[in-house]
Order: sequence, then C-alpha cells, then structure tokens
Amino acid sequence: MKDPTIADIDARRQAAGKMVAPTAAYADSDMFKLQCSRKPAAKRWDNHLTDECLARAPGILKVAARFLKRPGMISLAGGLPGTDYFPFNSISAAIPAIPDEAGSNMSETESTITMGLHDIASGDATFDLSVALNYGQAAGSAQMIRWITEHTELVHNPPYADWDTCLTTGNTAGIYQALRMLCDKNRGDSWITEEYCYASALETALPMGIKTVGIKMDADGPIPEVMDELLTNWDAAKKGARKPHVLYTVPTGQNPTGSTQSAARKRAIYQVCQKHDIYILEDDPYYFLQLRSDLHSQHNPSKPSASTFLANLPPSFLSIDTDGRVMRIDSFSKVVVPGARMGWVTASEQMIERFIRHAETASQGPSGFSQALIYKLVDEKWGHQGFLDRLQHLQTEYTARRDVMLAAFDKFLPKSIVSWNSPSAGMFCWIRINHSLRPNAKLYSALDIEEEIFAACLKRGVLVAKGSWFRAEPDMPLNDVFFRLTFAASSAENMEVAVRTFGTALRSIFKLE
Amino acid sequence: MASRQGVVSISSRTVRPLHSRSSHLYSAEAAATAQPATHQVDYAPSLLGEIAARRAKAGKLVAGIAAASDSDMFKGPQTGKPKAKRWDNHLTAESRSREPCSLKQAAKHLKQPGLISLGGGLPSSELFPLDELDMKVAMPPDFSEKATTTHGQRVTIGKYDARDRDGTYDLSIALNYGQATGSAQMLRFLTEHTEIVCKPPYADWRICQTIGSTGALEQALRMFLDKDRGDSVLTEDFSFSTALETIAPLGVKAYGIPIDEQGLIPEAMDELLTNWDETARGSRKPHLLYTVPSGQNPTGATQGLERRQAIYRVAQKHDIFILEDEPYYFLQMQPYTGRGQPDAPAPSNVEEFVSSLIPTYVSMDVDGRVMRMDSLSKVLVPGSRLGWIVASEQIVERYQRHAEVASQGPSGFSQVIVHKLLDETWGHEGYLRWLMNLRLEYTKKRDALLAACEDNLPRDLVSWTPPAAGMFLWFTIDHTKHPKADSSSLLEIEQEIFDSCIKSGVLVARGSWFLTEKDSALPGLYFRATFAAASAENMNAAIARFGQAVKDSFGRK
Repeated sequence: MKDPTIADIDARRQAAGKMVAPTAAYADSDMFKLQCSRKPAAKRWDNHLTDECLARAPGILKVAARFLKRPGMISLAGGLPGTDYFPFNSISAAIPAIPDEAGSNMSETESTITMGLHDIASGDATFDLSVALNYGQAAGSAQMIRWITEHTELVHNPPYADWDTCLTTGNTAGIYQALRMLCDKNRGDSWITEEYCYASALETALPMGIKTVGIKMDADGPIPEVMDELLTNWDAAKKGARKPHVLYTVPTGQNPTGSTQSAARKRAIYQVCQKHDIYILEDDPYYFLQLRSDLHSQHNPSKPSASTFLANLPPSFLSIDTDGRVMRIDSFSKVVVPGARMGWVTASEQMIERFIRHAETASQGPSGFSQALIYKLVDEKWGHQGFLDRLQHLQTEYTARRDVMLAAFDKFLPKSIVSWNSPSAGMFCWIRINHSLRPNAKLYSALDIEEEIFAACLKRGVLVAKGSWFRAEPDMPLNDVFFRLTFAASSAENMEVAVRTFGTALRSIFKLE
Repeated sequence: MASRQGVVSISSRTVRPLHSRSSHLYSAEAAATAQPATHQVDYAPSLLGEIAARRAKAGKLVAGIAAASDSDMFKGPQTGKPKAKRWDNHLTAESRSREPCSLKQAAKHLKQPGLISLGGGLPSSELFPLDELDMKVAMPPDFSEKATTTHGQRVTIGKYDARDRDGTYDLSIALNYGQATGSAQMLRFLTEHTEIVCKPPYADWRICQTIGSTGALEQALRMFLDKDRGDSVLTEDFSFSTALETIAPLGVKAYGIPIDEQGLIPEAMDELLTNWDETARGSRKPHLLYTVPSGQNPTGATQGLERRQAIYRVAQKHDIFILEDEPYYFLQMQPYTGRGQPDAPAPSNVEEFVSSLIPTYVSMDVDGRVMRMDSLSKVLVPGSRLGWIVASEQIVERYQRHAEVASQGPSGFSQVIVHKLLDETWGHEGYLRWLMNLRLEYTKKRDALLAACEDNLPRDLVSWTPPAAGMFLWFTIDHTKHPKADSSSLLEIEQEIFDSCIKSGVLVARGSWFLTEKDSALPGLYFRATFAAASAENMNAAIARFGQAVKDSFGRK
C-alpha cells in the first residue's frame, strides 16, 4: 500500500472544496481522511475503561445543537456571547523564515500572518477570530482537526480504519485524561512504565491510587522480555494490584534517559502488549527531535527531501497498531511553542469519543488564541511541507546543541567513574555514575551519594536533575546513580561551564587526580 | 517590523491618560469616604490610586520564564484580618495526597545568582517561530465593533520586550512553559482586580488562574467529592447542565435545593441539612454547595445581598464549603423599569459601577469557606479559555497541585494577549469601563427580549421574572391549565411544546434538561431562553413562535 503524500492531501482538499466550519462546528477525522483501502476496524476496549469513563453522557445542550441545522431555525437555547462584544478586531504575528542550513538572513524573509474578526464572511478565509474566540467543540476546531488528520496520515498512516483525533490542552492533560479513562483504584488497577519515567506522569497516577510498575530498561528503552515475564508471572495478591492493562511509554528521546526505541524494539513491545491485552499510551513529544549523525560530515550536508525525511523517521507505535490499542499523545510544545498548551491524541474512534466526553467537562478544548495562531502558522503559512522544513531545522539546531554537550562530556568528565550514551533524539543526556568507586562507598547508600553530588553541583552553581526523581517505584532500593542533563536551553558556553563544574564536583567527591 | 516599535510607545502612552482622566478617583472628597465600613461599601474610591501607587513603589515586575508567583506578592496590607479556616476534612484523599512536583521544587534553586540549569526540559525561546504579535483592540469610550474596526488601538507584543524594551511580559516568557498558576504578570492584574471587586475579609486569600470555569469546576469537585466516602453536593434544583454532567460520572449525587425568584432558598437548605438522613438518602450529609449566584443558569435568578448572607450563615451552621461559580457576575444589568418607562440612570463612573454590583460571597467570606470561580468567557471572549479562582491559601495550593498534572495552566497566547489588553492597554479602570459598557449593552438585549415576551406570550399561561443578571430568561408555564393536565405527565407536555417549537423554527431549552435530581419528578413546566446572541428582530420572531407553540399545546387560538 502506497503511503499518502503531500500531493495526495492537496488533491483531496482541492476535490473537497472550501471547508465551511462556523462557530462550534463539529468535526472528526473521517471528514478529512484520504480514501483508504480496506483496513480492519479497531478492537473495542470496554473492559479496559473505568466506570467513570463509561458513565459519561454527551452534553444535553450539545445534543440539542443538532436542531440548529434546520433552515430558518432561531436559537434562544445556547449561551454563546455575540461576537459584537469581542474586543479583538485582528491579530497578526511576525514569523521568522526557516533558515536553510547555510543560515540565510532571516530578517529579510520575515513574514506576517493575520487573522481578522470576520475573515470568513468578508473573504474566502476558512477560519477567523469570530469562530476561534467563541465557544468551540472540546475536540478542537474543524480547521485544526483537518490539519492534524492530514499530518497523521502523512507521518503515521495508521493501519486500521476507524482512527480519529482530537485536540488536547497539551500532553499533561492528555496523560491525565487517559489515566482517568483507563485506571480505577477501586478495581486495583496499575500501569506499566519505564523504570525511569517522566516525573509528572508518576505524579498524576499516585494521587489517583494507581500503582506504577517500572520495566527495566536498556539503551533501547524498556526490555520486552522483562515486561513479558513480569506479566506472565503476575501475582495480584503479592503485588497488591491486578495485572496491569496499560503501558505508558515515551518511545523517542525518553524523559529522563534519552533512550529511543528502535523499530524492532517497538514491534517486540507491541507483541507483548497483544499477548497480555495491554493498552498502550504512546507519549511522544520528542518524536520530531530526532538528532542527526551526519551533521558534521562534509559529504552529506544537504537537507533531505520531505519523503526522505519522513522515511527516516522510525515507525511510531501508532503506525504499527493493527489492533487500535494505542493512544498516541502528541504536542506542539517541543516543535512550535510550549505556551500554546495544545496537543492532540490519536486513537480508535471509541477511545477518542470517550476522551472528548471527558474533555467537555475537563477543559472544553484548547485556547482559541492558540488554535487561531497555530492554524495560521502550520496550515496557511507553512503547510505540511513547511512544517516538515521547520522540523528539519529543529533537528539541526538540537543536534548541534547535543554535540556541544557530548564534546563537553568528553573533555571534562572523569571517564573512570562516569558513562553515558549519545542520545539519538530528544533533549536529554543520561549519565551514570559508578558510585561504588567513591572512597568509603560502603558507608553510604546510593541515594546519599546522589544527594552529595547534587548538592556539590548546586554549591558550585549548576543545577542537574537527580535520577531518583524519575523512579517509577521510589520505594525500591536505589542501585544506580544517574543524572539527567538537558542540552535544550543553555548556550554553548554555559553548557561547557556547567559540565566542567559537574566534572569538578565529581572529582572532588571521588578524590580523583 | 522596526516600524512597529513606535506603536508600542504610543499604546503605552495611552494607558496613563486613561487613568488620569478620571480625577474623581484621586480627589480629596473621594478619599474621605474611602474607609471600608461594611462589605456593601467595601469598594474604596481611592483603590485604583492605591494600586497604582503600590505598583510604583514595588518597582518593575521582573518575572521571567516559569517564574513562581502568588497573590501575596501583589496584595495590599491585610492587617487585622483573620486567617482562613482549614478544610482538611472536606478535602478528598486524592487531593490531600498530591505532592509538589520534584522538578518544580528544584526550580527554587534557580534563585541562586549565576546558577546554570541543565535540570529542566524547557525549549530555548530562540527556536520559537514567532517574533511578534500585533493586534487591533477596542478602546474606551466607544467599544463598539464599528469603532474598533475604524480606529481601534494597535498594540504589539514583542519576543523580548522584557529584556529589550522595558516591558514586563513578552513572547519569550509567555510562550515557554510556565507555572500552573499562570504567569506572575496576569496574577498581579487579577489579584488587584479581586481587591477592587471582592476585597476578601480574611488575610490569606490567593488566586490561581484556570483554563476556564469548566476545568476549574471539575478540579474543584475532585478536590472535595469522593464517592468512596458517600459524598454528595448541594445545588439549585435546576442547575447548569454541564455541572451536572461533570458531577454524575464521579459517582456522587447532586441534591437540588428549592429556588424562588432570588435563587436558592436558605431556609430550605437549612431544613434539608438539619433533617439529613444518611441511610434514607444513601449519601452522607453534604459538605459542599455549588451555586451560581448571579444570573443563574438556567433560571436567570440573582441572589440579593441578604439572600447571600443568609445562605452563607446556613453554610457556616452546617460547615458547608461553597463553590461560587460567577461567569455572569459582570452581566448584572440595570434594574428593569418596565416598558416605556424611563431607564434607570446608568452608573456615571467606574466607582458607581463597582458599588452597584451585588457583593460576592468572597467579599463576606470571613471563614475562607468559598472558592470563587471567575471567567473571561462571558465578558471578553470564551476562546481565551482563561479564568481564575479565589480561595484560601490552603485550597489554592491544593488546586495548583492538581492543575500541575491536569493542565499546566492556561495558554500562554491567551495570557499574553489578555494581559496586553487588560493590564497594559486598558488598565483596571479601562477594564471596568468595558464591563460597564457591557452592562448597558446586555440591558438593551434583555429589554428587547422582555418586550418580545410582553407582545407575544399569553400572560395567563406564561410567567417570568425580568432577570437582573446573566443571559437567561426562565419561563414558568401554568401546567394546571393544560387540557391534558390530568392524563399526561409534565415531561410529555414539555416534549410536546418543545417539538412544536422545533417545527415552527425556534430552539429553546427545556427545563428538564437542567433538573438536578434526574430521577425525581419534574416540579413544573419550564423553558429557558437566552438574549445573548440573537438580534432584536430574531428574538421577536422566535418568541412569537414559542408563544404559538404554547398556545397550540394548550388548545388556544
């Protein structure tokens, strides 16, 4: 089966004609998908869902809105304010050009995007402030859903038919809502995560009374054999939780370890999930921050084409999800701006419908300002091609930053006690300290030595993240000392200073040189 | 873009004249009456001046990326006020068990001068694909859309205004990760706004921004209600349908309290609680009240000051925590004088406007037992998905912990755009003028709907109370006069009228949609109409159709 291309998407839009989506227009992915050749339908997940999730009924006022389709109907039912009292007449944004790798002069090619209050009525626009700034659907605007649907086809092309998408207020909310949908303490539920896991995900599950079970990792992420063994031999009484039915994983540039799952690793994990009927939450904010290995090669300096770029991306769980057992959680935070508080989830129609029901009472969807500006940027200004160009630019930028950090490691860290992997994606380096080499190591716990290093760094003016902050099961004894260092935000000079300081702190504690 | 830099200075210059124009706020006469006596006159005329002076004294607000802030940084002196009570027993186990995020705790070390952080996962603002936002916004005195189109104010938000242009807030800060409380810049404005409008009578009140009152309500309910404890919540016996739809999946019951034209009846609430029978009810005695005091959705009822005081006393007596949901607070309208009668005189300045508002629950909350939920949806734009709560430090801290994992706070685009408008372009006084204008505009819309009702509805069958606030008019239909009163249920008659409305081309909301206790009998025949969005002509046509549908059902001509 041929993968969809940008040209296919352009042709579909052309054929469909201008999109008409007024205030609070309902939309789903099926309205915008390419015709797909026979794909199977997703499995159903009724037994995986919580009572709370299953009890959600559609909002009565939203149901009544279907009557508005009748010609001549006057509504005195809704509580939507009139746009004549919106104090915003237009909003514009100055957009820097995406520089090519030679670094063209950005100021010469800066451009502007503008959205007015009544662009739809007064022109041929598809989105305007009167729509974006009024109440909308919790799933997000039709305009953004179209772009996300197309993007999903382009990048993931899910292998089942009834996938759907909806916008979120960011991955934090995506994870939070997914957990409320799937895990119930009264059922003794637990979930599986990487043994070192995104701290905020752990902090979401804990107050809900959901037990977290960490899976041992190697350089490629969680080890499928370990996961299989754990699930096969699960003893609910001993574990104090019923057998897990949810896996939470960050497959690319994992936070905190920086590990990235290979295609083979994902397939193996997927198979274990099929065997034990596990639903997968694929949280992938760093997917497009794949870092390059060819940047400094003189022989291959050119930018790959869109199709090469896409082909070089490792397959996502969504792209191998024949069962519809994956909810993919995506975000604009790392690739556009975090302050948009906007992302999206992709899963089977059943799961997206339940997700939207919750979003109707939990958030009513993302900000209209965010939707308006991101739409203008990614759809009208950049288009899918321009968005891929942007992603390649980010890859180049983050690769350069990573390389500065790795060079600093090489130069300043005592290799006799420190080891690390070169991350192939994301924002994080994960450093292992052989704490047993500390003088009198036997007198101290790993936790003590970790704190000692952390405090010594702080004293010298460097903040690093402790590995123990990310432990899925903090009650288990800590055997290894890790630190997470990010190369995302600091200047090259600051990174060098900070890594040198980190090295000095280690040498002093470990009495080296 | 360089040419736009001039625009910034123009816009900031217009801010100051807006304040200084109203000299009465600074006059000696006004200052003499400034001493707060009761909450009715809590609004001190010199307050805007005090706030301006406080800001000047505090110096420029420096709050960079993800700067932590709280209301205490921006409040005036709280001397002599008591501290809020604690609500440990009211909170759920889930809420009590929330721990501060370890990464955010580590951020406290960032205060150390010269510290380099390799700790956080924040992207670099260099890579943000937006250099500047520029917008055209409404300005006083003529806020109309027409005036804004022709001579709205252009305002600009740069990427590095805080660093390069002496600004306090910019895109590099707003569009990065932030605190779940929202930005310090917006928190300052909202804290001051709360002092102007609510002036809480206890010392340790705080504010947290929200992603709108929808999200705030769900979080609040999860903070207080636990089905495993047999919890339940009290509300009006007709209540906001989305609130009911938020409550139901949590596995807790909502109990309706009888209402009259001023909303919740305190005596009924007291009686319900005094005689609470846990076994018969299947829930333990409620410890939470959810109420919409102004322009209640759906009944349009507004609780007067004495009503609010009486309800507060009942809440004290039974140790009830109050969720005060006030999206329509600033849609309090001019008193309805009747058709052809001269209009009630409009407030002549912002001081009169603020004094004309019915005091909030927060303003009488000596115990700190109220969480007020405010929203910009009805007074600015719903799409901002931006609101805020006011409550005691304990409650706000728990709310914040929850928001850290549930949303991470409102959109940075929303915050920086709304801040530019409310704080930097309009200022407090300009915003109050905007609200004052909205009051008069909604008064006109209400009066148009009331006129349509007087012209088109059979007065012996349909009755209504002119709403004092909000967007909604609530029709009571005298079902006893219905020819099928004995043979058909109220629900069937309601359905018949509704179907007939749809057939003739008007959508009104059925009373039963809002019934709090879905399994109890409908106490009467009601419909809800809104005057927020339709034109006067459309309202007249729509009400004529509604009137005909009622008459048809009752077998009238």
